[in-house]
Amino acid sequence: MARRAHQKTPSSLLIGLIAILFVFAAGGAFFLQKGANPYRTVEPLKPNDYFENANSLRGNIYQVEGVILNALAQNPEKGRLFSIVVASESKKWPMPIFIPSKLRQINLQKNQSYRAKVRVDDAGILVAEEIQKS
Amino acid sequence: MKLKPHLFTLGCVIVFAASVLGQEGDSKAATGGARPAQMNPGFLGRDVPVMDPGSDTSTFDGKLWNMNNNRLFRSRFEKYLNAPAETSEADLEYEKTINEILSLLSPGKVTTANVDAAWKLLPKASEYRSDANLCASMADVVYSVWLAKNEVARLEMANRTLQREKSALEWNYRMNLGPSAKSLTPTGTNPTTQSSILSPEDEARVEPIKEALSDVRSTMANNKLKKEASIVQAKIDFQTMIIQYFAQRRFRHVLIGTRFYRALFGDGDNRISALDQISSSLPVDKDAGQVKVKAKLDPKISGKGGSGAYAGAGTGTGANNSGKYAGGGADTSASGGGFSAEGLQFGVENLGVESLISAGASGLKALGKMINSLGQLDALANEAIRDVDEGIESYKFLLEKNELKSATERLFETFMMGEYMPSVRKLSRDEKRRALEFTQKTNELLAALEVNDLTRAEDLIRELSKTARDFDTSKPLAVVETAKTVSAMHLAKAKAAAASGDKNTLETELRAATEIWPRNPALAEVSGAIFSQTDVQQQALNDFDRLVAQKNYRQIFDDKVRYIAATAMFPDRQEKLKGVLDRVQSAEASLMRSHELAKRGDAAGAWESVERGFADYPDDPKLNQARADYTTQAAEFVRSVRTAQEMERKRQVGSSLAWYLRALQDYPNSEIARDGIDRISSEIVK
Repeated sequence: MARRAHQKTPSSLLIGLIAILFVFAAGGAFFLQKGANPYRTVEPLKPNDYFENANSLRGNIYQVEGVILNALAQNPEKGRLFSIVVASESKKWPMPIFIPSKLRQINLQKNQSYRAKVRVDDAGILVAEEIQKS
Repeated sequence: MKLKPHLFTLGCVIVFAASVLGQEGDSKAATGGARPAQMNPGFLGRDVPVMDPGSDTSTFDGKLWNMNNNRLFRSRFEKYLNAPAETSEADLEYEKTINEILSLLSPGKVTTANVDAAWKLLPKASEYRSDANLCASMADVVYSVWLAKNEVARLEMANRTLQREKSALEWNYRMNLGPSAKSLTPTGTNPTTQSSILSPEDEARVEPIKEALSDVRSTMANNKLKKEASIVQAKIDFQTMIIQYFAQRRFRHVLIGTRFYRALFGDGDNRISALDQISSSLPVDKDAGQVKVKAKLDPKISGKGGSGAYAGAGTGTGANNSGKYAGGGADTSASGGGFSAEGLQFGVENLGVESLISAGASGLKALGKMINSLGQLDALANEAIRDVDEGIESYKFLLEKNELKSATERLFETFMMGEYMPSVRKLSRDEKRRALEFTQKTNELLAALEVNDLTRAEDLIRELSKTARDFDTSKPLAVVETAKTVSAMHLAKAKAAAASGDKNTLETELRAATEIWPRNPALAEVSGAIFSQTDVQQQALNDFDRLVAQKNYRQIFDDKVRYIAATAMFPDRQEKLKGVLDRVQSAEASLMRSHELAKRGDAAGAWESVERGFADYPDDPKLNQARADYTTQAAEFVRSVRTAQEMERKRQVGSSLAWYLRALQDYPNSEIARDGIDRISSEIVK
């Protein structure tokens, strides 16, 4: 009867420890996530808007993430044109993206996912300013 | 008033002289109708009428007339053929009267009583219709002769009285001369020629006697002249009447006239002085010169199918009238045709009223030399009567032998010569009927050939050959066959022209064939076929032009055989047709491919196939229908492609490329999408 009182852990301590664990977990997740998307400050491109009227987006800068589908065309002096598939709103939107020659050091592979910071040029083409594998 | 018989006789003489001239040429040859080129046309032309009894033709003003074949003679002859026989009681009575007159006046029976009796019968004979009052005219002339004779008798009586008065005056004259004057009177009976010197008393006493004697002598001389003139005038009047009857072919009246003449003028002078009298009374102008008749003999006869051929009444076929045909079946350039002839050409120079009168006067003089006695006229009339009777007998005999052509010809000739002779007039209707039928048939043949109704002409020829054993079918049949051949040649040329699309030649040849044989059954058939062919072709061409304008290429494609045939002769349309067929064939291939794809469940592929065909031929209803069907079946893909195309059109390159990419995502085999992507991509990296 007397031994039951001696072995007992205080419940407040246990709750505190669990809370601390949650705090650490949340913080770690936050920091980890913050480090994977370097363009988190750039507004993601809405494919639907682009499809509707790309010209209305001219001059804007967006971030876009998608899987490389095909190389459409290339010009060593100007750059390369790819098609990527962007997933959005549970749909897959194929879109063109132009990789200018200044980004030729990046080796773009088919079916690999990339994230890019893009600018909509005068012709409504997404021109990558920065790109990295995601 | 006396000029009338003169002019009539002049006319007869001209015709006669012309007929004599006409016989100078080759009567066998059809005389030519062509006017010499160097002659200028004038009033009524410059040719005098010339008759050629050998060919039954006459020439006037450069034209050839068949005497048997003109309305005047035909109608007169047919009228006779249809007239009843003059065998009524009145006709027989008239015949009897005329015979009685002739009998009373016949040589050997001529007495004053008979002449009076004959003269009394003349008014009776003139009461009959057949006589046409000719006997009354003769009675008048005979009466005029009697009056003239009475006048002569009166003048003779007056002269006898004057002779007695003259003798008395001469006696008184001699008695009133003095003795000295008497002794100085020379021998002779004419007191006015005395060279005696009369005393003034004697002179005053015989002067009235001399004047009275002079008046009596001049009156006697005048009476003598009057007597002679009266007889001569009576003779001329009588002769003129007889000549007129002869010209009228009243031969029995001529005989009556000559017998009366002999009875009335028993001086034995039967010379015909009327012609000389007429010719000398004509106002001849010697300055007018002479009419010159020019003749050129160059007989040519040619047969040619078509218009202008004719058959003379009762003469089978004859030569044509209208000029120069080059002849034969091989000639396809000339339209129409005919049986033509040319040859004897007559021309006249210096033709005028004055020169014609001069010519008439000369002719009368010449005729007066040829026929210078009443005996000649009498003989000619008797010969004509015999000839007419013989012609009728000949006609009857030929009828028995079923030689209708010759029979009709003989009857026609006999009729022309002795229209008023009893033998001609007494011919019964039944006897004339067959000639009438033959004449009508030949006239029908003539009419059929004139209008180129060759079928009818051929039927008539065969019919005539059956009814008239002596009807020569060779000439009319040759005309018909030649015309048929020429017509067939023209038709063949027309067919060839139609096949080669030569409209001008087609029209010319069809017209030529029509002119030669208007009722040619083959003509209707061939022209119908040609025109229906032409119509079909023209219709097809019209349809083609309309469908091209409507861009209804599918309709053209569906009926392509028709349009290929129709446009064969039109290179510009052929080129258009080729383009149309290429388009539709491309569309058709697209459709077929789309159907195959659709069968496999590839709606997007099917749509795309149709869409590619649609670009080439956007107006094809079939493509449009298929396009609409597949659009609903591949709605997303179609939307992507169309949006891409629309964006591309609006130069929204990015969106357009995105839409093409999306279309390709929907249908990875899309060529439209791939092409669009390639096109825009190339543009971007350019």
